[in-house]
Amino acid sequence: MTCGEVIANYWLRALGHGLRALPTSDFTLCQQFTLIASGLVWNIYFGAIALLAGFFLASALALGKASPRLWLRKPSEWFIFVFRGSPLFIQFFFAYFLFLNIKGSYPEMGVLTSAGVGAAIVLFLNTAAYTGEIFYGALQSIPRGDIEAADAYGLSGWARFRRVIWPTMLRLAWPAYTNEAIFLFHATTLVFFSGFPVVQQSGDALYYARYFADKTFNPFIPYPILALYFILLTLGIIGLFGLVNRRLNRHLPQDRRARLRFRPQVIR
Amino acid sequence: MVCPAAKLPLATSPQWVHDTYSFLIAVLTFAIVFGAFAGNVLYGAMRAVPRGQVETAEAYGMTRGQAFRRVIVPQMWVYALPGLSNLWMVLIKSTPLLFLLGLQDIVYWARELGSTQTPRFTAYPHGDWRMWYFLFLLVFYLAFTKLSEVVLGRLMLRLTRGQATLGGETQRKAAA
Repeated sequence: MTCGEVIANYWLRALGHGLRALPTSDFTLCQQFTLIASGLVWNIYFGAIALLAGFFLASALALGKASPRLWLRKPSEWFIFVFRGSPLFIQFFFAYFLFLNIKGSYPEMGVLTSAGVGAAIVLFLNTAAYTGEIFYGALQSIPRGDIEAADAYGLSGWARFRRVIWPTMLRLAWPAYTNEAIFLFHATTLVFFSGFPVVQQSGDALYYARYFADKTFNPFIPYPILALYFILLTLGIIGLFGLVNRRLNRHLPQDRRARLRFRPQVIR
Repeated sequence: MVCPAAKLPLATSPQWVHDTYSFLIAVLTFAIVFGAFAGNVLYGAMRAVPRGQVETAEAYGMTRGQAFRRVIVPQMWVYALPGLSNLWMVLIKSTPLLFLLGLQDIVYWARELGSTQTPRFTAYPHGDWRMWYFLFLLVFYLAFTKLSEVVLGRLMLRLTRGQATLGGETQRKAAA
């Protein structure tokens, strides 16, 4: 097979299209680059879904945790504590076996045991908890002056939240939120690594990298390729979040703008 | 292929050598990774000690080494502790990943013992109990996290005493 054929056969392999059989001998760099790249679709899917849905739940959790009402505050605090206090891959394990049990009792809920749905739910809840804590911290550090100014303008309730508190919260939280997004994408590699099974060898990028490492007994080629893809993905996220950051800070003088800082938090 | 004489540990060594070896490898790996992070935290903490404290030490005629030992090191912990406790929380959550190294920790046994046991192989057959085992693990980690939070909170309170920080000032006013 030429490299062009390999790409044509395998670039949608992670979605179940293309050639069914994975290469088993005479491995080429082209195969490794193509298959690992095709697996990246899963990582982007998990990350994007969890990030989008998690954003809204996180806003609600942050407001709940900052609320003076006990029945709003306690559930939010506990939710954040449970998901931040336990390792992500144990959450995956537990969720997978929980979904298996649910499937046993209610077969129509069987879709939950597939990675595409079940793992996305776990990642969504997990990132919502981490982001909720970030947003809560930002909410606590909104300058008093901003809120007093909103009061002076006669804003209150929903209008004050929508036009002053929420944008300021996002502006303050954005650098930390960028980090959270980056590490959420890195955490997506745990989905097929622990807990959720791979169906018909359609796994994520790490799955294919591990496949090649196991077959060739040489981890020094597939894993650096995987790392390269993840670095590119991370640069993409930083660029995208940087644009939003610029927009959130557009009313501030140039020198007071919050800079995005890359602060790795390797394990969750 | 590794030649049999170069294997570490040797294939003929007793089991406890293998166990100790993999344990030491795990400790070494974590020490390198988390040592780097902790080094960064301590570096930041050292630089966070107010400049005036060091200047005062110099005014008393202390040498650089004396100022470092008597002023900076005793005072830096209050600045280092938040970062170090963060690191600790990450560390206790990452140790179960060791089962990848073949180390048999609590997660390994939860998987092993929780899975379906048939009467052919065991005297205590049961179905798939892994969900309950992992629920227990979840609770175990939450309890561990909570305990760490409480202990670290107390330590922070103790370290803040008499410090030239907002927290120390609050404590001083509350006592007065």
